[in-house]
Amino acid sequence: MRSDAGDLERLVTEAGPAALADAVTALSRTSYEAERIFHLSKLDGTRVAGNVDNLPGEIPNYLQAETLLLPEDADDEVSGYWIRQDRIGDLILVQGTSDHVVFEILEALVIALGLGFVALLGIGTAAGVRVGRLTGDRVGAISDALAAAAAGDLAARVPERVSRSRDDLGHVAADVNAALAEIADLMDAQEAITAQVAHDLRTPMQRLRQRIERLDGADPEGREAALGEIEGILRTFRALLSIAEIGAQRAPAHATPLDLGQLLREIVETYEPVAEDAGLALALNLPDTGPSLRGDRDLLMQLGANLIENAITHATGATRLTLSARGEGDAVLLVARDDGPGIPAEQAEAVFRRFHRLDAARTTGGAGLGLSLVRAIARLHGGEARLLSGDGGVAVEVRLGRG
Amino acid sequence: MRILVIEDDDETAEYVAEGLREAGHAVTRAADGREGMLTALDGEFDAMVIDRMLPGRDGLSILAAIRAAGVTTPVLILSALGKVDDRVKGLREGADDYLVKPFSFAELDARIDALLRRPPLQEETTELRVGDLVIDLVSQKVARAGHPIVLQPREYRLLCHLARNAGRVVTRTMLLENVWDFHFEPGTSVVESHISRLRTKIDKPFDHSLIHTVRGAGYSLHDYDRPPRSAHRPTPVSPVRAALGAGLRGRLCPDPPRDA
Repeated sequence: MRSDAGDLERLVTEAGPAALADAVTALSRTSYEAERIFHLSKLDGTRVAGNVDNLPGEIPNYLQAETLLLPEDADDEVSGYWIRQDRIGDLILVQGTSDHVVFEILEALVIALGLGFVALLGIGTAAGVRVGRLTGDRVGAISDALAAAAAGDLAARVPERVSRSRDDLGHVAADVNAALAEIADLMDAQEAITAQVAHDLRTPMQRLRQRIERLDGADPEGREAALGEIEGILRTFRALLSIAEIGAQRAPAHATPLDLGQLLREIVETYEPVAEDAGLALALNLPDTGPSLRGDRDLLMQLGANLIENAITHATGATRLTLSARGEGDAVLLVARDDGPGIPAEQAEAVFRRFHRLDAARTTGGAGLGLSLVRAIARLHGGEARLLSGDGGVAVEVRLGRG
Repeated sequence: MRILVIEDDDETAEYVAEGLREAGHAVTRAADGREGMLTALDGEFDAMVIDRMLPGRDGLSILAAIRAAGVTTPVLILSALGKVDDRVKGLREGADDYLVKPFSFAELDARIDALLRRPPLQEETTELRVGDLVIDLVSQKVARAGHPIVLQPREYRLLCHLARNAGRVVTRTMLLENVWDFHFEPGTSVVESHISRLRTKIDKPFDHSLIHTVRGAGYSLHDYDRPPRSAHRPTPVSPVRAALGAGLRGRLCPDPPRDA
């Protein structure tokens, strides 16, 4: 954003304020779904150009989207903008980047890493097919290493007897090893960053929490309220961090053989009183034993809990939630279906986005992270989570690899 | 009790130490890994609180070193890392409990209390008694004032956990971990609604309550107002608690109105 302001400053000196207005208009038009907002005004506040209106007189660092007049194509997932303000000549330029973009960037990073794997696997396989007939054994070693890496073993490498040979295949093997090492480094770096962020934020949060706890003289109710607020922030922070941490892993770190049916029985038993208080009956539809899979017990427990909590918190009008699970080939299918009023089909994907809530005015609580976490856990287990639209009610379908 | 706190963040260390002193413990603090390890190996402590990330040394390597030296003192690890594997790793290295920052003092206090009173040898107990409440651990039958009470399996486990810790505060998180094996925080009031169900069976039909809510901390099962008549005393009240006396009782709030 800084560079934008720099360029525009030069534009004003060289071509005058009218050119600046044109430039801002052009920038506004190219801002897809209002991911970025621009507002150019005179010093008295009169708007000259831009794609947003109704800015407050005093402009904070962060603007809530709902207070602004945004263009019609604006993305309704955006809850606010990070703002930068510059004075350029006799004009004031306000630029904002939506908080959604920040998450998109994080997501893009994860997707890019994922695609890198797929591409590598593709290249490796293609190379293998071409020279395979000549040197089946060595190609086998290369593709084994790639398959192991794609399955999550980042330490997998092509054996030295292959990578040290001086022919083409030897070079391919050495390149594959270099690429695998690079990916392993990247993943390590990402994990280290997440851990660092967690640590750097948790320590000051600890201090903040204890300062409030020890505030003397303040009215006890105010202190309790402040602690309550802090707990709310921390819950959201921890959930976000879990999603990031789970997303940074390639495979569950503590996978054990599990009976998913048994796990669901335990979770339902745990949630029955809470659900009953919320007017929701919990039902199970399971085979006598299983379905069985290898997975992280704690995370799958949380997945099940989130499915139930999602229904308790968001399915207003539902009276019954049925959890069913069955094996399907090398996958396990888990469906949570409620009998509530359902949601519009076009929202089916949006509910998995972070901080998404269907209706901002509805005060059903929850930070809107539950289903994002469900999806992250499903993907970690080689699966996916999606919303089935159809005959009334909401059904969340979770597919899990058997591991 | 003597407690060693190894924590590099001055403010957090001060907060923990001050709270523990107020609770009647003698606190020694070490600010870095090296000093912490030497103190841990030197001194005689009843419990240790070790921060996971210390300058110069990982908290877990200190733990591994003192365990290797034969020190069996209960250890609680404090961590700014919250991943499930971090906790598993900590417990594998010999930690007795693991608490993720940010935490409240009430949570730390309750957990240290539980560690300090962990029995050195698991006695063969076949029965738990708190006031007129009797839990037969063999037949898994529960009775209060001679009246049998029918509990669901999970209610029974919840009651047993409270009874084994009678007179102490058990936090919501401790219950989630020990009774439900939940290592994440639920977004709904799971524990509260189970406690409420348990209260309608254990307390409501009787003239006084045994399950008490400790505000800002958790729950406590005790019968302070009616000393037990039989020779079987409930799990004794800790000396620290006894010393605190009225102080603790001040923290115990009257129960919230029960739902119909």
